[in-house]
Amino acid sequence: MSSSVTLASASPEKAGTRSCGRGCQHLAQQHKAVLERLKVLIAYAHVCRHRQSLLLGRRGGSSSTSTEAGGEGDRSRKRLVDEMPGPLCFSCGTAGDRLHACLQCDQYACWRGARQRRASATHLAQHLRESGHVLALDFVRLQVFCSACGDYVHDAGVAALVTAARTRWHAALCDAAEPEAKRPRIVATTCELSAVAAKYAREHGAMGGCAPVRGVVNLGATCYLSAVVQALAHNPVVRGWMLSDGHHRRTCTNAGVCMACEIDAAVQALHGGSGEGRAFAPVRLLRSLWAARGDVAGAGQQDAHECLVAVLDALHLAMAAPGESPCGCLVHTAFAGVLQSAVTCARCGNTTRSLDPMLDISLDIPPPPAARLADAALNAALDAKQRRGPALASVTRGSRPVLTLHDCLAHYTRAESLPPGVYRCARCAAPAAAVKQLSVRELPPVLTFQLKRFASAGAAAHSTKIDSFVRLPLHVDMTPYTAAALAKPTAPTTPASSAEPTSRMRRADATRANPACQYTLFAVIDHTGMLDTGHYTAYARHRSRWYRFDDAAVTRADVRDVLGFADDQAARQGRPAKGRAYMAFYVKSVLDYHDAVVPAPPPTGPPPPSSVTEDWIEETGVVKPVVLGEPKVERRGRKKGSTNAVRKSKPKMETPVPPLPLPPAAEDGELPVDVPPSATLPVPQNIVEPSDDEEDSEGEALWARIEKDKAATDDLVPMLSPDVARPLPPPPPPMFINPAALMVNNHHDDDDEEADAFSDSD
Amino acid sequence: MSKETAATTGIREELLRRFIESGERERLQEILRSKLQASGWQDRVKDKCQKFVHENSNDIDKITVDDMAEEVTPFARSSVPEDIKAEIMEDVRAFIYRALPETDA
Repeated sequence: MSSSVTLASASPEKAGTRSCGRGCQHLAQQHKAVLERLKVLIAYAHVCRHRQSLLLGRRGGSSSTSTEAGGEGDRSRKRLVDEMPGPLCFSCGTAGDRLHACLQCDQYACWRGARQRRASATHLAQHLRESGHVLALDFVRLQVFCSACGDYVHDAGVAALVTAARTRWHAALCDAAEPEAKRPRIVATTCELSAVAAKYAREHGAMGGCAPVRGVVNLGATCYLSAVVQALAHNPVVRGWMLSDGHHRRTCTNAGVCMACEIDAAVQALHGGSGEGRAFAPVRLLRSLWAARGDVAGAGQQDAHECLVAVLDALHLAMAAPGESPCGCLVHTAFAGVLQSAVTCARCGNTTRSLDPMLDISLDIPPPPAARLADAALNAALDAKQRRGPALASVTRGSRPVLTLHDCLAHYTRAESLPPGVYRCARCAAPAAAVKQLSVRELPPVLTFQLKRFASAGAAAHSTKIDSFVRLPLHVDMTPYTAAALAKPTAPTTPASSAEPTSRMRRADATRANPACQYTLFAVIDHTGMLDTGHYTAYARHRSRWYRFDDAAVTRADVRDVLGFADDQAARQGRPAKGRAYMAFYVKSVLDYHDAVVPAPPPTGPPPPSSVTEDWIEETGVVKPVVLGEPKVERRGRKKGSTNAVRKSKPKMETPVPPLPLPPAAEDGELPVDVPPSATLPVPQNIVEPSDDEEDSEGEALWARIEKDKAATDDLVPMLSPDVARPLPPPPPPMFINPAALMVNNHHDDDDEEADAFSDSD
Repeated sequence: MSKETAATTGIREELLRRFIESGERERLQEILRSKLQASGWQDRVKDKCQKFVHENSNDIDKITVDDMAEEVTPFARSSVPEDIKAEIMEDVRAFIYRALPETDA
């Protein structure tokens, strides 16, 4: 089982990059037939792979199990399971791992068959050899294997199909994980380029070069500010908002110092590529921070978390439209989530829930999980040792559990019993013992954790810094800590786990991973030194590479440093390990894009001027964007939004749209590409058009419609900021590619290559 | 003896079939995946894969996914945290006991 997971994380990228640009000629020869087959196979593969998750999402599925009978939901469930059995290897009759579907006949074959798992000795190789077929599809990872090349091959057409399917199934899985939630139609999920977009970029200018990363000057014990600025500037949502002129000083109406202008300036400076390698000095930013918060003014050292809170606070005040609820400012769009605190009375079982807005989560560091290996686990390990011989035991012996972020989160959301007398139940109308539990009700696009390393144990004078190493995972799944998951009965949802599971296991089993709850790390703020004096540094990801920002000094960093592999190793071997990570910033791995096609009434003012110079555009070769009509801002569902007439480029996470009758598809080449001078905004184009034929024509039709509407109103407003939402399935030709915005997608190391690959399929 | 082996193989296959059809395999795979991800195992293995690619960057055209799998799999197997291994094993065992109620498995 472990080997299949390995490959899941490793092989697709490697296979993709290897043959990128050249492609596999064997695949090219029968491209069309293969694509036809893939259309069926990919859907089938998704059903098989996520069958149980999808079944759970059927009516009433969240509480009942698939074995319980009755009801319409169960019938459709049964149909899914019974009438669409999973494929089996034709040679051995099992559904072993790495099952492949032959792309030239109806055979399935697996990777087994030989003692050493070489490609030449498997059932698959056997089938391909005997039948003379060449191509097969990895049924789980959806990669095309070419036996003539002897490896997995990349193909733009196949990749586009897989992407489109993934988008659709992502939506289906979100629905399955949260059947009650209303959400608008998801049209795209990643920031890859569609074939049309890539072609346009190639013909109308180079893809923007990578602006170098810049350090931030330390203005005298302001390393806390440097770290916070870097973490903010590399936050995809903040960066996207600011680079698309979500706030601009020329249109700023705030009197006096404005934090939004300063953050905007900082983001522009750090990403604008104009610094010539010099560090950026946040003088005005510091001034506005001091102006906003008198208590942090002065030459002293400050806490980075407090600084971030102060900056966000000031930013919110500078950007919020009065009377808007919930706030649509950048801070709340990006960072705001909702915490739920549930108190259950032990006597009557009545649960009182209170909701609290949050911008970040401050986690206590629990004691190291020394006694996590339960007796049962030890026994199992011993059994395994006996069965598999000493080899297994020797490699795993001596590895100790390491404190992870998940432990902190589990500690944070643990059920905490309140002593009697503290809580007074409303229903019993009497003081009672109660159980209190925190959980996350709504997850923000950007999730910020603070590890409370500065503990004040008892007396204030006795504050100490907790040095324990806390492992930060690169990806974190927040599903187990959401209110929905924790509210579920603790009884296992499947007939499984009859064995006595620990509470930790039960929690993980209680729900399936919700694809909307997956997060990826993009920045870490480290603290070294003592409680009262120390140094902050930041790690941040820029274009899928990690950098270490130590004030003005910027160095390439390895993900091993970011995650502290050395300390991790030490901790697992029981050697002293020092934890430096103080804050961790995660962004949703999949930012949903929703379509919004209805153009809004004309904006009230002229579009804000560009905040990048023409020179910069020239220099970086960035394509000027065409500006879309303002989408109708209307949100429903979990995350309530509101209309903001002033700020046009507010990122919209969930902007639903009524289904539109599609006008006939417009022709691709005839779309106007001229750009109004007022609209030279660096609006990153980063939505994938799921580019199989059907989706393509739909997008073009919508685009044509938008063009028509635009011609009618002739009013232009900037597009939405990049990483969050854009009004509609991406307009094919005129576009802008912001190199920085492509960073969210961590599979793309080379955009040009990608462009080539995509346009080949045209 | 050989008769018994054949019977065991039959039970094995039957068990595997039920394991998959009941959805238990999918469920456990998902749990395992999230646990390994949380423990950092995935990051370490990915790092190893990247190293492999860097080391072989000279003949990048020759190496295949299979080569990498062969190279990395021993490390990946051995670095699975013991507690996760034990937990999953316990779950699989529980399934087997449930699936074979009458026999003395």
